[in-house]
Amino acid sequence: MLQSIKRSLLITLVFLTSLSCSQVFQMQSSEISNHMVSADNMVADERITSLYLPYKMQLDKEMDIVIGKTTENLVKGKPESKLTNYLADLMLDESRRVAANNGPTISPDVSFLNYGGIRTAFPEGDITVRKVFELMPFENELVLLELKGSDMQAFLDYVASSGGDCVGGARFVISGERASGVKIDNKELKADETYCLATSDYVADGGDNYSMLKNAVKRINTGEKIRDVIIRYMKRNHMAGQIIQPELDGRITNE
Amino acid sequence: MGGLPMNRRIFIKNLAAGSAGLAAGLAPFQGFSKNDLLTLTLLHTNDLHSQIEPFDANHPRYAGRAGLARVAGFANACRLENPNLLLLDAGDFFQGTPYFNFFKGDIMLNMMTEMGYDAGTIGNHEFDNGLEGLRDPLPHAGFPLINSNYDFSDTILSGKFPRYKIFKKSGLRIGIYGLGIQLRGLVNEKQHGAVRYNDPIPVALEMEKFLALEKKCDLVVCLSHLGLRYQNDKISDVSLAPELSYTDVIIGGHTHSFLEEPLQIRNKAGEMTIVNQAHYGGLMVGKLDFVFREGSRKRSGLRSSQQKEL
Repeated sequence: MLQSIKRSLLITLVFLTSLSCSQVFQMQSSEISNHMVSADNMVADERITSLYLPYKMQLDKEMDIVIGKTTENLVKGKPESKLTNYLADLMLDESRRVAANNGPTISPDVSFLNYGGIRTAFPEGDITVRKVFELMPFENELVLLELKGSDMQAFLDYVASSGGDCVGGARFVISGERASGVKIDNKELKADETYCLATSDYVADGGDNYSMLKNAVKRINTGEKIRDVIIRYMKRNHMAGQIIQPELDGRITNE
Repeated sequence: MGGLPMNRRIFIKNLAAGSAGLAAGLAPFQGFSKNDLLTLTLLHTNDLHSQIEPFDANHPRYAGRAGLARVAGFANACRLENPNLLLLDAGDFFQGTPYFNFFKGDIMLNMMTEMGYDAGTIGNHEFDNGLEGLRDPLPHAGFPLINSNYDFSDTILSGKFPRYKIFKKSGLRIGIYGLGIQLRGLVNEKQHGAVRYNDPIPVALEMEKFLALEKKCDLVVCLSHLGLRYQNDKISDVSLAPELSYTDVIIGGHTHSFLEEPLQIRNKAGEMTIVNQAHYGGLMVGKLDFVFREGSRKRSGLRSSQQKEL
């Protein structure tokens, strides 16, 4: 008796298992689409909004301070753009101050921010601390590298091969995959001289395939975040009443 | 910028499946009521980059657009319409706004959990605060981060990320694996430490076969952070798709690609694989609806694409 109950249980089990196993699905059709996220076609889930509200209020206090004013939208572009020129020149100026304050004998000749690391644009009008966070969200450090002229050339060749980038202090023409007629401080680049490059630790460590920078003769980690350097420069100039009006100056041109 | 473009829907009728039914001696549509049809919805985002709020009102390109609350609202509405839904993300939810600088990864993973994400994968920016910066906020993620080609075994992240995950929706089995991008040259070594990167192609071949044949999944999804396509021969979603046979969908990220409509790429078995990416920052949500016919006449386990091959 017990056995037959067991057996019938077993049979039921096997039957049920085979039922679930035999379930078969065939794809009949599909409908695929991409949807823009905006107020026009989506209703915000207020539960989510209220979840981040306390964090938002905490952030807004620090982020809404105005530290600059532009007269037009500044968007990054290649081979040069007003935004990348502004940032590169700012980096060169501010990194020279940092170098001087640190008291070393090194002073930056060229500045560089990698294009991919510039994450947004500056809109026309007031620029807040928030914008700089969005532009430069990474916690990267300002690094000063002493490079042989030949390595500086290899570095700028790589910049040229990528179609131009955010470079200050140097001028050149993109010729094929190379940077030709490189001038640093208006003088021709010499392979046997040494030059100082101000850039981020990300690039200095060979990021974005800038591996030639690992050949640096000397490296100084300034301990300052790039973003803090940018904010300090902008604050100072904003307090002095300066408007942000960078120009295209032909520092990088296509042949 | 005037009205936003309407979303374009592509309707794909799976003719092959119908004829396979015929070949197998089944009358394809006879005797199947609407109750035998089951729709699965995949919603997906990528490269959210901690864009929790909508873009600023003065943003030059995306003023007032995006916002996680809206993505959540859309997901809620879709879930009401069809509870057989998975909300997925293809990586790089970290980094991009002060929310990340001030609150690290915690708040973003918290938000995604509250939004009801079912799974995600790991993008290169997940390593921005180092391995600790990825490990520490993980308790806030109420969903798995799936990766199949990073080897974390010599790191503090060992065992934290499943290689695959199988979801069941009304009996339908959805197998998901994840592919991460080469970290060398993209992420500094001090950030990714001893994480080993394995070639995505053999890993994808192994995972899709495993999920489709061994685990009998009805749909195989690849969550990829490889990037949509490149000028050079670097591996991408578009170059991966033709190498595969059992992956039905590649949901991608990394290249912030804006696609008006999802792509369809012929795979090794001669069938179309859906490849999609949804811009970035929560500006877009991809919606993939798959209609399955449920039958119980066959004994088991051949999945749809195999039947289509008959």
